[in-house]
Amino acid sequence: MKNIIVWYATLVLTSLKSATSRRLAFLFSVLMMVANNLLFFVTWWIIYQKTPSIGGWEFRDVQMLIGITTLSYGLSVLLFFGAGKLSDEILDGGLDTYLMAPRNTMLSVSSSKCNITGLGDIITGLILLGIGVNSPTEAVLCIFFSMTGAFIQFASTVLFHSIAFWLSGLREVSDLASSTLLLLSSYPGSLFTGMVRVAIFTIIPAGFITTLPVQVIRTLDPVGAAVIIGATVGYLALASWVFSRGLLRYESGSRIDLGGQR
Amino acid sequence: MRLSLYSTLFLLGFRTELRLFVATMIRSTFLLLLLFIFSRLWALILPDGLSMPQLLWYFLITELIMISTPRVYLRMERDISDGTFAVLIQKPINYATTRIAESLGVLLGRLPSFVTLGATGTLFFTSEVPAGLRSPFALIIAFLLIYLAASVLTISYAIIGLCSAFLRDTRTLSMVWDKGVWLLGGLMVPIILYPPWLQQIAPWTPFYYLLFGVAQIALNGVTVVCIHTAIALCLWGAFGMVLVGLLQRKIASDIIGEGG
Repeated sequence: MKNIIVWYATLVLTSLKSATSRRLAFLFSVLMMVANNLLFFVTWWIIYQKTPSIGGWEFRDVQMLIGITTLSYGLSVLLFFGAGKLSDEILDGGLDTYLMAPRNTMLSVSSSKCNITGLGDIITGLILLGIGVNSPTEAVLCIFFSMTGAFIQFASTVLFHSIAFWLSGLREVSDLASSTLLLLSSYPGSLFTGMVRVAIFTIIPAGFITTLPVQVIRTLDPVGAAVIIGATVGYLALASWVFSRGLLRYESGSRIDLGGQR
Repeated sequence: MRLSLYSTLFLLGFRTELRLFVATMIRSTFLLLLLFIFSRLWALILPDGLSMPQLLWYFLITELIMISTPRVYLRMERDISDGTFAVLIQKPINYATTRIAESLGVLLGRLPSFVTLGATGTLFFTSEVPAGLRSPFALIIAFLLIYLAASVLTISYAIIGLCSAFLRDTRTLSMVWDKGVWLLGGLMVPIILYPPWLQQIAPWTPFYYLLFGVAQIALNGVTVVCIHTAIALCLWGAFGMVLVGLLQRKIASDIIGEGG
């Protein structure tokens, strides 16, 4: 396990080094992403000027929600950005280069690319959570649930893109599912009832990224926390299983390049 | 001769878009999802003086402008990074106008299907059309204004695309621009519900006319404000084209000066 973590950290650091080689462009991207997230937050501030609560969700809850969403999304794209390109790799025969390496293929693909704008998301998340939390316990829980959220986003992305192993013409559907996950994570859970509520706790697990964590932080409910941890482990296991089943169907693109940053 | 060339590119973009059925369906699904979320939001916090159909049709119009506008900056960024731009500026055509003409054709190709699916979805969620949009005349004016606003937004995206010559990656710049449109254009919330100080700032920006100026037709119907919006959009569009021309000239001179 320790070896895998060291290996993965080395891969991500290499990707990060490459992505930050142009200092000014890097700083500009990060600052723009912070501005982008804060502008979204201001829109919610405007809505809350008209109402104290949206279905029981107060402004502080939405602040926590956006903080957790941006922090978990930032971590996800910084550490696992390659997962979002998985369907391209599958359909273009790009997995060949990763299969040659004596390492976990899913992790190798996921760490092969790094989106530096994720740092802007992380900074925004920390700012919003920094001014939104009331106690050290809340702060620790927010950070912890941002990390579980990042893992759920990663697992979901792998699941959505693994569709390409079975159905080749649905590349856009994978992207749509990933966008939908982010969209549903960015709005108060009280907006979703009935079948949509079922969907956010199953096929598009946005409920485990923000809705349930905000409720757990609000009520300090240990059962809710255990459910989130269980869901995180469950989605990661499912993603790993589906990916390995999909690899059995993978047809080589006969690539002979040596991989690396592509 | 040049005008016919640009109109040919416009038609090419239009016809290509008509064939991209899957992409249109996926964008429409996303639009319907957004409409669902906002129908839930407005059901929970309906502001005084506005009805649910007014707010949802308002949101449909703002979202149609945002979702149907082609992201021409992605194509321009690619052209600049892979050298296509350097090749095309030597041809007897205007590079930026070419890309904008193509995008306007794409816009015309995708807008009717988005309008149809979006209006059907909105009717499903509200089962009512606001009074201001009930006449065929109002619907035609709304369609024309949506097309005009999306065209001006396309020009602004072309400016962002040209900026890639200096920034390399314009993703974050385009995101901030989009959020500016969201906020000061009133994508989620009509500007009349904003704090007074923000209501005063918004009309000094193009964002106000790009979204709120057009979508207010769902709140108030066809009024003299529509003419005001159309004129403002034309002026901002003309200003945008001047910027496009200046930026393109600057990039071209840099490329020629530095040897391509």
